[in-house]
Amino acid sequence: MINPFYAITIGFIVASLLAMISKKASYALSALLSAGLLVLALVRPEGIDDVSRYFLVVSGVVWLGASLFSLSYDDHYPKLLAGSFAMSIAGMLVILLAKGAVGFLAGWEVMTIASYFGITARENSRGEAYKFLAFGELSALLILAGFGLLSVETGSTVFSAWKGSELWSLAFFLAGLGFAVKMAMFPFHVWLPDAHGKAPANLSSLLSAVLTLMGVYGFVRLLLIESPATWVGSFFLLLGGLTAILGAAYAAGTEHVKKLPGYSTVENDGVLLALFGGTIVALNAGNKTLASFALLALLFYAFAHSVAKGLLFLLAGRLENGTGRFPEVRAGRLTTVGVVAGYVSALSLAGVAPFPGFLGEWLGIETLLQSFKIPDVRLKVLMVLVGSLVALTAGVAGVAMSKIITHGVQRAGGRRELSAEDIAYAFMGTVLVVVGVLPLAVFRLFNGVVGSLAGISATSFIGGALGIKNGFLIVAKNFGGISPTYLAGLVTVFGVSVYVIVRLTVFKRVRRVRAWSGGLSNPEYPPIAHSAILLITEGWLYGTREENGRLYWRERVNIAYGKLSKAYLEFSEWFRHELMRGSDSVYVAYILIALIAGLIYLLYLL
Amino acid sequence: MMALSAVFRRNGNYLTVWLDYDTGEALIRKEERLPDRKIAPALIGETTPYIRIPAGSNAVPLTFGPAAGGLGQAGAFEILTYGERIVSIRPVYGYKRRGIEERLINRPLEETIAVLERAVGNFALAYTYAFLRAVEANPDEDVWEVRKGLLEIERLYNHFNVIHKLAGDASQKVATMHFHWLEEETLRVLNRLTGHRYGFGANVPGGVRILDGRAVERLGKLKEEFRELREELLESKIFIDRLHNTCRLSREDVIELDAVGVAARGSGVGRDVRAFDRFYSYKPVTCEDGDALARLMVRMEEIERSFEIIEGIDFRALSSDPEVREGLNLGLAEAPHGDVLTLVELRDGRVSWIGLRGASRINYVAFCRGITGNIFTDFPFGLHSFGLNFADADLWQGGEE
Amino acid sequence: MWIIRGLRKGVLTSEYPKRVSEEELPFSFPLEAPAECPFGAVEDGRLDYRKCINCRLCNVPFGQKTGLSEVKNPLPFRKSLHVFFLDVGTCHACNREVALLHSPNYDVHRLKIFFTPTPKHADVLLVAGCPTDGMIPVLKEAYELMPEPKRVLVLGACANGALCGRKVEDFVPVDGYVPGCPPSPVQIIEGLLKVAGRDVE
Repeated sequence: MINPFYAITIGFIVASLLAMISKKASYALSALLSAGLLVLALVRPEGIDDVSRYFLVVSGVVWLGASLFSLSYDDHYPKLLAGSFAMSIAGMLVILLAKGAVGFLAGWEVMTIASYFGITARENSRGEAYKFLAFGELSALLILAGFGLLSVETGSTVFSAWKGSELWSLAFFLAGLGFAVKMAMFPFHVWLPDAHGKAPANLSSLLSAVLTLMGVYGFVRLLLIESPATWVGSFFLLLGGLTAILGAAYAAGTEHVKKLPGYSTVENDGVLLALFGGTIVALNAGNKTLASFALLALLFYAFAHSVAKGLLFLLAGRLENGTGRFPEVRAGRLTTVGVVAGYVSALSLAGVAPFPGFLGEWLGIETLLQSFKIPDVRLKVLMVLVGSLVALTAGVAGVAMSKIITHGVQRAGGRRELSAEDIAYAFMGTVLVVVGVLPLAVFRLFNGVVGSLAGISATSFIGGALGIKNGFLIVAKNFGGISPTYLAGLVTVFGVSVYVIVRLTVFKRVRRVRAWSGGLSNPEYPPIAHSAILLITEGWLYGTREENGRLYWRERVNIAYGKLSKAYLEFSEWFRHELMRGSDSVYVAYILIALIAGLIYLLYLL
Repeated sequence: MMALSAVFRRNGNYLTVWLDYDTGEALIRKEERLPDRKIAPALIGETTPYIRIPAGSNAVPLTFGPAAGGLGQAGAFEILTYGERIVSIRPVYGYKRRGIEERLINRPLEETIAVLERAVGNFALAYTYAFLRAVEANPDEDVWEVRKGLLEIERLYNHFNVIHKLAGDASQKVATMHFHWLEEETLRVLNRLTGHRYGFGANVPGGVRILDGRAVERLGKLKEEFRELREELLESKIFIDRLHNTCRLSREDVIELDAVGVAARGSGVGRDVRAFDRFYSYKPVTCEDGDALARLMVRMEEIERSFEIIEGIDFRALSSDPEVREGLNLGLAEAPHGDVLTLVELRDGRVSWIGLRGASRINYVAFCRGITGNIFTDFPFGLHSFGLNFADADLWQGGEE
Repeated sequence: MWIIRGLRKGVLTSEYPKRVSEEELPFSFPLEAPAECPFGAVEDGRLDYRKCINCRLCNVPFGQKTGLSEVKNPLPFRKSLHVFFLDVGTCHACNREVALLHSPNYDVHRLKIFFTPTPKHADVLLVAGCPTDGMIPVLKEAYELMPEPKRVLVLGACANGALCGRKVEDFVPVDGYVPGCPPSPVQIIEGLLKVAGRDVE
């Protein structure tokens, strides 16, 4: 019997081709396939291993949401978008299903190139799309280098054959760097906010939530083969921490509705990287419990980030108006369902209980602050420093998320008629709330993944104490514990009861009046004011400029890249003139070859 | 150098008053166009040139006032900001234009004075001082000695009020209450002395109304109290830090904007009418720094000087019968915040035209220059360090065209 | 050592409304009705204190006066009173007197009177000054935003039309008057207590 997952992959390719005939049909097919995939991965996960299964479930949620959303969102983009949307899903599926380096790389290329075409579907997005492609290819090259090294050394392209390789740490580092570029690690993060800000919303949702998730998948996949040396772990730990805080700060500072979630992705991927580094460090230090807990935190955080961010990008697509800056957000873009979903996703990303983001945040900080269990003093200090950076990140993320709530989601409400996108909002929002209240269901999903790291399963971190029923308390062994379910219950009970009591006893009658602002009507506080104090006091971080009554900032790294790319453009111009006269088509040919290679590989698998 | 002191509209022309603060030489000119000084538009009520929103700016104009709790009076500021930082700011005049000044015209002088006192209540003694300087042709030295004393008492309670507000802004709870108490005690002295808490009705044409001259003896106790408080307040690092470098006004700003009074003296420009007033022998107190602290130090020193001046004066009810000067005359007085100027035209012993200019009208603009670039939390410190009010700023400029 | 300094000072606060000292009242109220008034406070031989600007130009003896404020319908409040002060065009003397209510000498908090920065929390609108063109809409807006039950207490002579034709009651319903120019803090407290329905004697 044919593995049904491969059949679904083919289905997505069909959906991609279907876009030539009808965009709606293509999206509908994608939605159907995603739903089928989700059900299949949950109910009959045969033919795939635990790691693939978990990532398939997480991705499936976003794919389903994004496809549903596209049904009503994509009404003015060229057909190219619908085609590349389905094709990039197919590429990601190939990555997740691949058992060896060839499939993985082929999927990686398909994903990157399809997304590139998707981004160009938007007018005036050439620059951003090229940036995306350049960094995408950089990442592919690094992965290719790592995988190639291993394949040559072990003589096999199959992942499982790589165990025990002598060059493991170096190859891991190279490939890991490739994944990290895809995950927008500092200083390679600049492409992400730009590309995501420009891409059509359904695609940016995919790019942000699933495309970067593929980096996480790559990391986990390699880690489960064998752990690299500690230096690899501490490298990613440190850069992860830096990326997280930078992403959070820039998210708080940006004025663009879609760059904000973009930077927030940088932040979350930074935390994921740091957790990943922490896992390696803990594992190599011999603390299996901590390593397993770190991996657990990583996997849960990946879930919280992907679903919430996917949802937020969909919403941001609706908020986008004119140049896409916050002051231009207009009312009547979202239904009540959308507004509620916006609150849920933003609160989750801000790390507010009882949403999954809160638990993810808690798990992450809990892991990194257990550095005292690691014997090496330097690593101890490094890890706790990164832990404090991550904690700070959680705080700054609140600024960004409150901005998107108050200046975005809240102001965009007021639409009456429901459409397909509301199903997407409702679906993803429900997933967030349910997982926030009952996260242990997700724990069972990645039980096997965590277990295969050091033999300690995820469920072994679940217990019960202090009157909390067994199975509802998450315990960081010998450290802390939390029960999201009970917490949610308490928050709900107290919140509702306070409201009821106040409403029934103190404020029986409600009087609605206009706001008093010194006797005159005043304009609203500008969105820039939300973070102006950060921009002004942390000018060194933002590179803040103030000219002609205008406050603005531009990432210093971005400026450096700007100079670099200018120099590169000059160089390549010269190069083209001198050596490769009239060979623009080479690149297109390469793209085609990559696509065909992917297809052939798929057929071979079938 | 001559400073542009006032601009009035009259008969389709502008009547400008230029003042040399070093010699006391005043120049009244009739001009067809607004003089080319930065402050000129603000002097006839138009403050818009001081705020501009450049194209592409992401700052938003907010209006603070006219009934904002922080101001406590009817007046407003238009602030351009992108949050926290004040990018540009201007005072909005006109909320207090009451038309009360029309009632100054064409009535017996004592009634004119009664109305003038109610133009700006807390600078009433300064306004009547300036008005009578313009009106009396052969002033009686003794009477003016007492008027001078009253003006200094007015300075005392207004300066106490400023320190009270500054201390309150810095949450120096005990200090702010003590200075509030000092202010109230000074008002009570004035009440005993003149029969009115703000000295309304004390300056009458040709004389002064004093009920109980010995009431000033109580100021001796207040002086000691003030000295102790001053020492203690200036020891508070938190308080000093808060004022230091806040709302800085440079010497050049003062010259450019023709700022007067405490604002000018705090920036090292010794503009003080008392320096050339014939009833004073006085050297202006100055401080170089130009920030809120410098203005506070100027005030502290002036309080000492005022106590000194008051001690040498014998307060008693006096009357004289000076001749009234007909025609257009200028009267000046150094009010607690800066000089006030009255340009009076008398015909047949009655006022036929009058132009009033309070220092607030000029100094609000200077304040706006100083506070630009500071953040919102600096706003009250800057504002209160100038000690201005909108009643003073919104006085009649000789009619609208 | 602010605390010690504060303690050494002892109690400075007025005993009003138990008793009122001579210190706390201005000496400028006409004790008899004059024959005529240049500012229109005398009509038919009767002196309207609400319009008297205490100019002391009339030919009658002057002195201190209390109990001049009138309140038509006091609030049925037993506890605290929240006041929003609105300046609609004063000479700034009224503003100073209202501000002095917070000074240690008067300390209105002891009488459970509190000032709010917004009319939305206020029971009493304390208006001073003669309404200017710019402030009339603000006055109306502030009155409208106040919750019921609400009262308007008018402060000083010029709010009653003494100097500039207009008066506050032309624009919003007025429930009480405090005469004086400016009314001294004690007189303002008297008016506020009367509005709160408390016994002043």
